[in-house]
Amino acid sequence: MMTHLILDMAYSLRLLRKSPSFTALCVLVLAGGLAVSLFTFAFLYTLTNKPLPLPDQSSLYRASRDWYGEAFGESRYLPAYEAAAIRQQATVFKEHGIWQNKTVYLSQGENNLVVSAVRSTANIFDISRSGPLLGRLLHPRDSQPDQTPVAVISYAIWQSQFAGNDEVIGKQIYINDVATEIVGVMPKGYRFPISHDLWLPISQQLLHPLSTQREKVELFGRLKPGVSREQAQQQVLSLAEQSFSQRAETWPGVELIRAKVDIFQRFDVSTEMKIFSYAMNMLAFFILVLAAINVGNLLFVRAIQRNRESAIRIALGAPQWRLISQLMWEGVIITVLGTSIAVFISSVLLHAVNIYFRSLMNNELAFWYIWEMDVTVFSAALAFAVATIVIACFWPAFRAARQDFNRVLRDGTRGAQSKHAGFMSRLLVTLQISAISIIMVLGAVISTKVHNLTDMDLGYDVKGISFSIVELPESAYPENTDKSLFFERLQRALFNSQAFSGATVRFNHSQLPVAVGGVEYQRDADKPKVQVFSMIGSSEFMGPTLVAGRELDSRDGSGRAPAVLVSSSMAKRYWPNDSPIDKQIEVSLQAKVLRLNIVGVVSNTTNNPFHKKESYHEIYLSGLQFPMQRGTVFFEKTSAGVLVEDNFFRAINAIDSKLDILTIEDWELEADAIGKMTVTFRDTIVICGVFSLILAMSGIYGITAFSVEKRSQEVGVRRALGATDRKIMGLFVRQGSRQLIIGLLCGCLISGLMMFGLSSIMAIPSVVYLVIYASVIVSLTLIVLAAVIIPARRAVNLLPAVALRYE
Amino acid sequence: MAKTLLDLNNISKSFFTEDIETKALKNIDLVVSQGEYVSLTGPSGCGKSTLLSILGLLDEASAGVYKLCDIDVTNLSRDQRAAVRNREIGFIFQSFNLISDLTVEENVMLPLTYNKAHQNIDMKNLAKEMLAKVNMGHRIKHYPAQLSGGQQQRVAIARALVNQPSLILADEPTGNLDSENATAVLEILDQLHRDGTTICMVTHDSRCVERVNRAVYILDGEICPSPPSPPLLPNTGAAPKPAKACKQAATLD
Ligand SMILES: Nc1ncnc2c1ncn2[C@@H]1O[C@H](COP(=O)(O)OP(=O)(O)O)[C@@H](O)[C@H]1O
Ligand SMILES: [Mg+2]
Repeated sequence: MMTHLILDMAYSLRLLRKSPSFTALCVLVLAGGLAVSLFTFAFLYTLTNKPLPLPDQSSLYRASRDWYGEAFGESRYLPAYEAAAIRQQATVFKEHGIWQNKTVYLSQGENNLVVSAVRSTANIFDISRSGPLLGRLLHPRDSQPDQTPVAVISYAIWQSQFAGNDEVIGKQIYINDVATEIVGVMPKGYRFPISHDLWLPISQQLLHPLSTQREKVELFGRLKPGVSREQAQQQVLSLAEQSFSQRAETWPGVELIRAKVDIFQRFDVSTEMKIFSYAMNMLAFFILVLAAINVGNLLFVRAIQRNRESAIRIALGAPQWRLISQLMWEGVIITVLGTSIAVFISSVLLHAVNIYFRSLMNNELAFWYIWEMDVTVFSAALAFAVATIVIACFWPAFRAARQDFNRVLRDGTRGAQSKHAGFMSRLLVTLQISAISIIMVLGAVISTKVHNLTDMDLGYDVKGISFSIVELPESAYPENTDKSLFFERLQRALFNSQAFSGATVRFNHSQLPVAVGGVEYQRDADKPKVQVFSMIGSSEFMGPTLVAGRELDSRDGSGRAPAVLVSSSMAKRYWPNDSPIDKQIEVSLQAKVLRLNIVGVVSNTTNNPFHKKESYHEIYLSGLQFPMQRGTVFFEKTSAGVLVEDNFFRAINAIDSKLDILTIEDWELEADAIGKMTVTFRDTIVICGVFSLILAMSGIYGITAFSVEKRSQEVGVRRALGATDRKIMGLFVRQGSRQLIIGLLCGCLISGLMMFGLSSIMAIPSVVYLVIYASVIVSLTLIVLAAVIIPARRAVNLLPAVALRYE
Repeated sequence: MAKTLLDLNNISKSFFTEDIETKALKNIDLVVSQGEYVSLTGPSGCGKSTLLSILGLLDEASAGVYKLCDIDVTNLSRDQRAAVRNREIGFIFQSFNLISDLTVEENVMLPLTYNKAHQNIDMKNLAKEMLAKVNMGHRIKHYPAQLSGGQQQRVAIARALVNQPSLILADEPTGNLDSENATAVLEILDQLHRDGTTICMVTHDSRCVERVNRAVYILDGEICPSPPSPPLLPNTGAAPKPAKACKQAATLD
């Protein structure tokens, strides 16, 4: 039996060597299709589902809650005291801790470094099941006020700042000017909870439910066995509500919306991103289906070609399993080869992506985003190979071995066995047309959407602009006048600095219903929702810029009648034939209904890339009258050589030196990085789409040509009976058209349903949909017609005498 | 004297496979009159099938002139050739050549569907009539693979006859059949001959040669002038009806 298997394998190898182009085509189709799907799958899987690279990641969760307040809009914010209260009473957690994100200055001698740090309960290392590489971990007593400040550093810091020197333990560094002792170094790659490099004890005060500490923290821990995410979320919400209601009077106009408990990988993934990745996965899935259909096709065609041979073998007494084994080996060898190449290609691609994103995101990439050929991806490839062998190798071989060999041998019409085969190949072509039309529509819509994002003109001139989000502590700045005073001083200081040529502070009041003067509204919901900002200082240097009327300035200070600027899009929409200046609008803000006088019109911008600036309406109030606790400070440096951070912090420190350390983002760099990423993303989709198109084209052409060629003899018979060329061409074209129409109908129906499901994020103009569908239909029609007409022409051009000899 | 139907003048045919020339036919001169029943015999590979293909316009001669019903068919267009095949010629093959995806009835109707003049006739009925004539009227919904060899050949004959051609070309029609089925097929051909159809039949079978009224012997692509032994026997059947003339020769241009 063993020797038989080896014999069969050797025979298959000989057959494959005898038709190298067929073998190469099969292997390439399989390898290409599988590589594309494996890569897409691995890419998205790493983004949302991949296990954390920790010793045990089961039931490890993050928890926080969202609230809504007029002073800050909707935001995720868990105050420290509330986290402490939840922690004290929660029963769903087996173990839990609290952490707080801090960006700090780490200085040591001359060196000064901005480091992403975390202040946390000491059990953070326990919960993540990790130990130190050197020294010790944090201890609960480190949190007590009288203790020397200590820190644990990451492997990367140890290497870059201390050259990997063992004597780092006990060394003194300064963290935000506080002398701190290094007590431990974590192993390479450990950056829990997200992308942190420095672990500090959280202060004891923060951990008391009755403290007045409102600092933003987050809960994390492990759920008890049997507790679901939903149960945990429920309990966190009710405990948060309890704690919140006890202090409701300190949060006027604020309401709790929801609690969120989720695994680390999905905690910060937005719904849009989830839908998007779902769409991408669908795309990958259909490409895989296409590749599988293609390989199935090719192997199937092969089995058919050897049908007569099999029948003769059966007649000669070959046992069924020998026949199956003989027919199967060819496919098995092709599948194994193709899968190996696919695994290789996708691991190279994943490695490249890993390097690319790391270089693009610096150190801020969460620690679990490691793109590589891991066990899961490899298993997926293996599963695919096994499925292919069963479906595309074993099954056709089994069928061929079980055929009515007597009929095949006796059959004088040569090809009566093809009745079933003919149906199969027609079905395969139809399936292929469906699959590729879905891929084309999905790919075109996704890449159009992404392309729109890359091409999007947000209306801002980001060149040389940096921004920083400044959050004032409520305790130090309780009143609106306190806040506006701070921000006004900051704006003026930046504006007057030699280093900066423009500065503005912007507060985001989110989208609010606005009543346009002179229009009657039945309900609040009828009012148009408009993005409401308030601003201190002119935004002329970055946009929006003034188009008509006047800017907001010191005339619009507190106590004055509130004035407002509207965007051009809004002016065009509501006062199409008239100047909006001196018209009125009404908006309810900070618990007051405001009647606002329009004094100016500014150019269009949008801060939501899913909306075009021309259709996104904005109004701007004076930040002196309507400041918020949190404002974004934008400023433009005068020249490339300016030390942005030094100048900015000097300005801040001059006003309030007790503010938390802030991070400054270079808007130009950030926009550039995001732009590059989206362009890469779009190109990847386009390449996948083009690749699958080639795959489908060769598949459709291959099968159709094969089935036409198989009918050469039939063509000869028909011509002997007097059929004209046109009659025969018509016959083939009609049959091809039937497959085309059925395939397209199914494909368009399925993709239409998918588009409907994705409409919330894939909103693109219906004209574009029309163009996409039209070009998919036209191009597939052309491909199918070519696949029919070219081989049919060839068959028709054979002399009937030759065609009749055709086997 | 009966009118001439086929007139081959100095016909040659060569095949080229990788620069090697195979001369399948060499300078063939052959005249067949309307109503004749001719057999073509000779050893395997001597060029019988090739000759028949040229007669049936399935292939083109490399050299020489071929006149069918006094018309030089050498230069007809593809469509004109198709029309001649459809109207004037019925083919019967050794391997039947039925189309496996079509039923018996559809196979027989096929030539009718290729003839514009037949657009208004009841093709189904005609096919049924033809199938009844060859004793296959009870199997019209079957597929070829569900029939025995003799049955398939009878269907193929019905298909060859359905357009009432003036010339029947048969390439070893009994070659794949047992003697009983072979006799049945030969009887159908005899009947056609009596009805005035011209028949050219390639055969090895001495029983076939007995039935024809002229035997042409081919050796190495050439017609042998001296008839080989055994000598030809006179036709034993009833006197043939007046020969079928070319139906639409005049319309070919
Ligand atoms: N398409 C072709 N290509 C090359 N050689 C051919 C072709 N068809 C026939 N021949 C050759 O022509 C000769 C005559 O063939 P054929 O007419 O089929 O012989 P037969 O008398 O047995 O029917 C043979 O030697 C054959 O090999
Ligand atoms: Mg022959």
